[in-house]
Amino acid sequence: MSEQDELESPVFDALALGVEPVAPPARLRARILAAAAQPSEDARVVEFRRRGRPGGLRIPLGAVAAALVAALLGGLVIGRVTAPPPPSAVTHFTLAGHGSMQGSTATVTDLKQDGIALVSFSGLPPAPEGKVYELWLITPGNRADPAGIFLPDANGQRLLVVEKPLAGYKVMAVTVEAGPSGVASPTQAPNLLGTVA
Amino acid sequence: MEGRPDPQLAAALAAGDETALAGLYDRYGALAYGVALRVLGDPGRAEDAVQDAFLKLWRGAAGFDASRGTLRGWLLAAVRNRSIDMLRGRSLHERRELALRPEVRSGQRGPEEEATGSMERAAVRAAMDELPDEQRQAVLLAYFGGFTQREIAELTGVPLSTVKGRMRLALDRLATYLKVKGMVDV
Repeated sequence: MSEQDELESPVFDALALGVEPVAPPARLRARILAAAAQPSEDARVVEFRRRGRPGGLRIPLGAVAAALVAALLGGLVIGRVTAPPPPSAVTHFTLAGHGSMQGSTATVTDLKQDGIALVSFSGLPPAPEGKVYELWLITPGNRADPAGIFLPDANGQRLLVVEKPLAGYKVMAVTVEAGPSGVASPTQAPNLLGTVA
Repeated sequence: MEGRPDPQLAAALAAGDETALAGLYDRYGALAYGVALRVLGDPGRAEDAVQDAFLKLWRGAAGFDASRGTLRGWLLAAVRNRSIDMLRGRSLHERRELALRPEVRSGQRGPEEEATGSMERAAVRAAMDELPDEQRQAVLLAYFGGFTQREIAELTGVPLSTVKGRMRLALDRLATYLKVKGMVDV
């Protein structure tokens, strides 16, 4: 019997039956069922937007965010005149709403060289009383890392700055979570999500 | 609790029935998580491995062939293989320590798993306990550490031919023991 045959033998596989079962965290069941319910990766791929400003930049910004965005935009405009960044330096993708967030969208501008991303939300319904929206970055292994909590303004808009590189993540998603501080792991399937470009 | 037998669950999975996936998880989720945790020693990574394995079955259920093994066996092999994949990048020393650490002997499980699993678990453990130390070590390193026989030879400082012999003897002994017990289909 070859080594490969041994590895594939039923006896070898039976060794798993000697392992003590361990109750997994309750969230794992929800994670698996939510992931299974999602459309395939290809269905969520969105087109790059090559021209025009990100929609979120039309909305009023807080003082800090405004200064940051203005600086970033200035850099981008100047960059286009003097030395266009390589195609991969700035990418855009969108998040699309489903279910209770049908009609909600977000445009993400990923400034790869700066290691930050701007997420411009629109069409968001008001969060339920005592709840907040929470943004997640999800790895290929479906680990969800929190990326910010927010509430929309009266027009259903919001600009969020994600101060971390998106490299290594495959999905950006939003869930409604307990306020005011959000949670460490999502408690529900996201209704607003998109594939990281 | 999902009451359908495994072959029906497999057919329902292949038909895209999400309640079958939930049923499969309720039946084997704790065992799957136990296997991932046994290999990886890290609850977060174990969750990822289990999720990947369940989704692999969900998306590939149409390819399940009952003549080649059980649904449970397919799931646990997927969990173990994914967990071994996730060990990559860890040091050989850490992988060795993880593979050879003492077995956890208590935990929570669902009533269905308790009813059907405890006797099989006892049989497998007894079979492993029957092995000489060097054979048991080789099996643990291969199964839970994902080491090749050549790597096991290097780790244990014995010739490759010796490792091959130990593995073959161990698997023969395990097969004989488990067949006599009739607890697992080998």
